[in-house]
Amino acid sequence: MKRPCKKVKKNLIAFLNHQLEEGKAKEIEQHLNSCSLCKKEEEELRLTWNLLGRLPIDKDFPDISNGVLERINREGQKSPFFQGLIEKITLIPAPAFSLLIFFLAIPPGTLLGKNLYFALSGSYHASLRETQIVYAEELPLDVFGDFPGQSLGNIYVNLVSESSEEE
Amino acid sequence: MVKENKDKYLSDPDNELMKRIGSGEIAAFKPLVEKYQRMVMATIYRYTGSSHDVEDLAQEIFFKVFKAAKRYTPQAKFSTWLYRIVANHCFNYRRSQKRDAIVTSLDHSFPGREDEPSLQLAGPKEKQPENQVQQQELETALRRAISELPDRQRMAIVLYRFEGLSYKEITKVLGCSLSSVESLLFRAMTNLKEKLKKLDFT
Ligand SMILES: [Zn+2]
Repeated sequence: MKRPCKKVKKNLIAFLNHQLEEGKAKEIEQHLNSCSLCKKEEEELRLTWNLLGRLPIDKDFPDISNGVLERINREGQKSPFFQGLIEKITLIPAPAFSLLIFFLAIPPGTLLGKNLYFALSGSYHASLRETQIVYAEELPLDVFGDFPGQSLGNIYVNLVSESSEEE
Repeated sequence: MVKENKDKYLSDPDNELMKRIGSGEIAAFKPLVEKYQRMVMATIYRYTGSSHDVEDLAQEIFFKVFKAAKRYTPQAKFSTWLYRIVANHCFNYRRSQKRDAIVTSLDHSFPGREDEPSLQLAGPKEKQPENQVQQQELETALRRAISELPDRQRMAIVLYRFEGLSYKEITKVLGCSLSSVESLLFRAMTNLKEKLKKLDFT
């Protein structure tokens, strides 16, 4: 299929809409008079352009302004704090997000790690007992024996609270 | 070409309104919605070819505008910026529709308004459709043809033919160069021509 000339392709639609500056419009007009291929294209597209003009202007859209304002008020009452927080986070996306993930990941990571360790090394309580014994032997702190804690973390907390009680 | 002065956009009264909305004056939003709702809904309707989700989409767009008011810095006329939001929202809507594999139904189109004179832009060389098709049929065919165009061609022709934007404004709305707009419009028109030819309207 033969294509219209480049200059016409570039300017024809604006030409149909009478939006081309005078000099250019004259140039196109002259070309159309001498180039039958472009002339044919112009006639066909003009027809299409005019057909499009027969789509009516739609006047009867409903008034949505009240609906929009209601929605704004409704969403505004939905925990403004949380929304503010989300907004702030989206303002500094990368660092805020990675920090959030980092801190959120610590508790499940610790829990998972501990449970996995005990799951792999036999029963939970036996292993805990062993661990406590090993620690008590390596660091000769008999005091550990007195604590029925579930983990080293608990032992630490107990120790701290006891030492603060002593003061 | 005239160099653009960004300060001139500050004097756009709608940009002024946006500033007030951004600083918390919610009441200032209502006149803005009232002024532009028709433009927004007409663009969506022309673009989708269906009245189905026009109101919902328009509400979402204005909600977006409201949320953006706090961070809004005018870089163009307010209406140009609004068209940009409308265009992006329409593109996203189309994408989600494609995902849901919903075929846009033209049965939900607004009824044609035969009592209204249609836009007459007759040029000297205009021919009437040979087989005097009903206006209603023509409208349906036109809407379908438009709705089958690729997204950007479709938005470009809606903005140019129906909304009366200039090439320059369309470059800002679609975020592309002047030559892209020329090419989008030319391709949109030749595609429409071919589609309508098949339907015997040209
Ligand atoms: Zn030519």
